[in-house]
Amino acid sequence: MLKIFSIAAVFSGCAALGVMSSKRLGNRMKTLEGIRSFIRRLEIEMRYAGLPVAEAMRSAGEKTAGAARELFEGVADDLQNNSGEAIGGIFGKRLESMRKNRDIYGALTDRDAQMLVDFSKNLGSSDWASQKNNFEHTQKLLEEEITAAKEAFGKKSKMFRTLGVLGGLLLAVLLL
Amino acid sequence: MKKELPSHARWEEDVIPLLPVRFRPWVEALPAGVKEGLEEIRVRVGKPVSLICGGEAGYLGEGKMQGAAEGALEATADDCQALFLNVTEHSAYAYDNELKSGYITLRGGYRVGIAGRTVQDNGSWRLINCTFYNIRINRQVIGAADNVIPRLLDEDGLVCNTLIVSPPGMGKTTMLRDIARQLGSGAAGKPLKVCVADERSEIAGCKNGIPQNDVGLTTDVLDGCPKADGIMMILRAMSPDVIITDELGRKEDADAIREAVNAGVRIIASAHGNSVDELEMRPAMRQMMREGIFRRVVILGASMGRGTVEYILDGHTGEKLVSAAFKCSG
Repeated sequence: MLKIFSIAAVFSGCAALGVMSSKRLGNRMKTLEGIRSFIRRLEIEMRYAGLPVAEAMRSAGEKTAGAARELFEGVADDLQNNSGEAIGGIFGKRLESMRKNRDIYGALTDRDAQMLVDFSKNLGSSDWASQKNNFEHTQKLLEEEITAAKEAFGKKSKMFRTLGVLGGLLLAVLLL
Repeated sequence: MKKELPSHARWEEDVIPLLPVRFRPWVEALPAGVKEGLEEIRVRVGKPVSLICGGEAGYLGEGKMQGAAEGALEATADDCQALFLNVTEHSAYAYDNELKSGYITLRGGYRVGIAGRTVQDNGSWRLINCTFYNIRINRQVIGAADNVIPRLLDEDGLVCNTLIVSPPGMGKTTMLRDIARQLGSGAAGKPLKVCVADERSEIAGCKNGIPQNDVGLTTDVLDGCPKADGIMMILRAMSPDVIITDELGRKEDADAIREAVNAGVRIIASAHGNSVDELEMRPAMRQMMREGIFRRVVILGASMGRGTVEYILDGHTGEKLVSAAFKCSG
């Protein structure tokens, strides 16, 4: 009886691991897309409404759904504390905390995180011409990462799920 | 009656949170008397933070304003960076024009003058390393023009074109602000359509176009626009009775003033100087004085403390209408 339970547990564990790996790929794609659309909105609020960064983040948050809102509104809260810390530092801490505590952010790679921190380091700190370059550059990088994330999801998502199930089956057979 | 608006009594609330974190307990710990009279906080990289209080200079010490630099709080480059981030709300792009002009207006109408390294950018100068700051804690003094307003009206009760003259820091802007408030609230018998051309946001202290100072019930403000252009815009758009503006000096200013006066609008303006003789040394001012544009010239000084009206001249005859010095407010 115990053996049957063990085999079932091993099979379920492997299958779940495959599903989770697959979901992680999907989460990365969704998170990057959410951030891209938030950053587009943020640019509009900063450029056309002329709002300071924190207000622009809040205003963009009101008009944008998704997890990016939580990240940027958290940054806006920290900015309004006037700690004197630059946006790059504030943003980096918030992002790391969310990567640890939220699955959807945990799916981001270190490379994704570094790209976003680099974006935040230049955010607000210069005249509009430089800000425009920062937005354009980041949007371009995001597009590339989203394309790569979509490809990875298309290629690997099904494979991870299948590998999980098959790996579970293999282990189950070996345990029999 | 002399009293201060609550918004200015609350400078600590508006200004202290914008200071570098390290500075805040030092400023908070200053004696009430110093905080009451504080006029400027000056921050320079590698130098002790200095204060101007009641016209006296000193340094920010632990729980006190002190005469000696030793033991005073010294500002670091990080402090200056933090101050810059806080006063610009981490948004230099949103303060581009202000940075080109060298100052930023804070909520509450307080101004932060900024200096440092500049570079040329499309014909104007842009600050790139901001390492010197002058946080000016201006206070609105309600009633500052009480004793002057009756002398600015002619025999028919109409406002005379007036020039207020003094060296910096003697209360020109405070007086202009109170004149705007009073004329815009009926001090000349009925509320006049007063328009303030506030190039440096000093008179009304606008933040996002909203005056942070009380400038009257029927007063409109054109904020941040160069005076000469601003006066023309006001003339075309706002049908003013009176235009109030600060710090005349350039030829374009004089041309705009002439346009306004010829259009039947009354002007109340200020200029830097100690006396009419000093004004005469500046070509644009000399021309205006000779043309008799200003019917009243109010000279401010410090013989009885800052904001003393030293004398008032009839701009046409040169005769002193009031020769004994008196304090502006009652």
